[in-house]
Amino acid sequence: MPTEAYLLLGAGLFALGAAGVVTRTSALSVLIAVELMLNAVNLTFVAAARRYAQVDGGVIAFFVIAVAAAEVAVGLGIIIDLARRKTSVDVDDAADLRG
Amino acid sequence: MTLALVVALPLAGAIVIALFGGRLSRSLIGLIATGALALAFGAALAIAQAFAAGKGTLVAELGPWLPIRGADLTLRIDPLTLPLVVMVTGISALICLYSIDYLGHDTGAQRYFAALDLFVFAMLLIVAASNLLLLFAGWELVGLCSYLLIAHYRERPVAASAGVKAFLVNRVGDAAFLVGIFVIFASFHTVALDELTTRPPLLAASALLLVGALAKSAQLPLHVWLPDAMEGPTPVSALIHAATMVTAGVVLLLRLAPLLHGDVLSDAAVIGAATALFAAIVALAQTDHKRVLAWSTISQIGLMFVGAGIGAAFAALFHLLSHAFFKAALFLGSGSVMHATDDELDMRRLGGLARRTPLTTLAFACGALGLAAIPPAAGFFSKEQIAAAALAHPALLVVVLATSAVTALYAGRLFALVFIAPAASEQARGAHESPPLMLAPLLVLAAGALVFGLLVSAGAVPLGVAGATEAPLALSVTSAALAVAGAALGLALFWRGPRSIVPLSLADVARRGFLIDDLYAAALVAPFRSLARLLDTGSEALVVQRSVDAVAWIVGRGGVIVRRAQGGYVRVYEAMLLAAAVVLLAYWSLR
Repeated sequence: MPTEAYLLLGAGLFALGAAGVVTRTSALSVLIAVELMLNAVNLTFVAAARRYAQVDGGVIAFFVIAVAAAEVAVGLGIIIDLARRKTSVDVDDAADLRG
Repeated sequence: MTLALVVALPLAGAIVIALFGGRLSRSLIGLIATGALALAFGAALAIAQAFAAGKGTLVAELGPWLPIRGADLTLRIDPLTLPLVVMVTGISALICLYSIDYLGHDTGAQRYFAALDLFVFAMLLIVAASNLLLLFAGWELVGLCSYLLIAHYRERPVAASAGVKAFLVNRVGDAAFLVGIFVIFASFHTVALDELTTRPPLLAASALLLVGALAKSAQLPLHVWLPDAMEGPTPVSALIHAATMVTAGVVLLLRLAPLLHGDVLSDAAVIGAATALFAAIVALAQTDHKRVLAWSTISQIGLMFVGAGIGAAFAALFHLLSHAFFKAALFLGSGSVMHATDDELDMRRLGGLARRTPLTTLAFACGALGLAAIPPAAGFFSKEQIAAAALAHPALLVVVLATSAVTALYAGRLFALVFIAPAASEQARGAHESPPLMLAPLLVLAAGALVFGLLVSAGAVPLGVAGATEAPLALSVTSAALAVAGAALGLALFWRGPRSIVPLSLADVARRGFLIDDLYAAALVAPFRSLARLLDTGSEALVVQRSVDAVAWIVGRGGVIVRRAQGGYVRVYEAMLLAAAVVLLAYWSLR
């Protein structure tokens, strides 16, 4: 398979994730969409690693996975706190910091 | 070392009081201030002893100061300035001692005593500085301290504005003085006095220095601040008049005489003579006993200017010192009168104090004898010296003698109205003698006023400057006769109480200093005030206020526009982030 195919798939997944982040109102869905974006990037890194036969891209993919795990932990923590305060996980309800 | 001590002790006293005075009791502060001055006086006496043993000059090099030739922290005393150092420290110590009880109930005692010590330090700097810039530093400090002390009762608007007036009028002279120093430095590239004395005098610089001296010494036409300075506490008046401030101009003329152009010196003599007679006449018309003394100081300093201007350094110095004694005694006596009568200043409401406050009366009488120059009081000998030196200038001599007569007249009037005339008010009838701590310095000064002239004339107190002239007998007799006649006339006219001799309107004009103050108010203060009002209503309201408002309006409108982006919705922020990322990526990839 040509590398371009992986890149196209990665770009498509990233766009889907970005669209999800912007459009979804449930905090959980937003988190999932962010996850999707991260993994789209991972796919791109791994594809590049394969194309150039170097491990660097794979190493970074592992880093991203580790960071994503931490991010999910923090994100879920925030969501739980949000749910306690607002009795909903709708991100549009958390709009107190307005100008 | 001793010299540095003399100058540093008052400064140390001022610093200690300023830093730690808040925790100390009022009388302890006063004792510290007096102690510092008394120690300085002791050190000055030690120097005097060394000089008597044959020492010529004393120099204390304390270190470099400014990177200008001659501008080092160096003090020097020569036979001319030594008597001044002794007088300044001694009389200040007495005045400071007197102040302890005088300010016994004043909440501003810490301020007062710190400024007092600083004042003495500043004056010593003027007397002992080895170069023009250090002298100027002392000169400015004197102006500052006079402001602080004249405006001591700062809650009284009159006192506050009197302080500002003194400061501002002095500023005119200070500016001239500073420019004079610049001119001298530009020509000779040094400010060291001992180097400058060998250079030819410059006319412009001399004139500028003279203006400085005129302002500090309250000579025509810059005398207007001194009568108003009476708003300060009375010991401050004594200090300013006798020891620390107004004599600074004379000190300047004496110390810088070799630098000053002959024409300027003779101008100084003429101005001094005019001031002397003018101020003596004004003093004659005053109704406030402190103001009589204020105008009499202006007049007496005028006589010193005559002496200094015609080159009679000995006569000017002698009169400066004897004036210090009798004027300090008179002012402290005046303060004692105020203390006795609940701060009554109007002579028309006083009288009869001779019986109720005998010691104050005695001291005041000695001072008045000195002022009136009745032999054998101090003023007689020193004034005679000035008259003798003026023999070669008939016009000046006439003015000096006329001034002496008028001086004796108002001295007699002052004494008669305050002490002899029938008591004219409750306060005068209920007068009580001052506490011993106030009387002691007063009596010491009174004794000085009485015998100082004799001591100097007999050679018991050397002044260090040669030039004592033997006055012709005719002159001595004339001046003594004029003094006695004037004083007798003053006493005879007023011993029954106040009365008007000249038409009231004329007396009123004279009392107000021949309206010179009003002239300044009309010619300088009023236009300035209109300008200020114009700027206040014109530029302030139209330009400054409008532009400030405009800035506020722009910021406010901008805020309204920009805050729309801050909706608080996370998704909007995320979209903006994405859009920004897309724009940046597009820019980088298309570049």
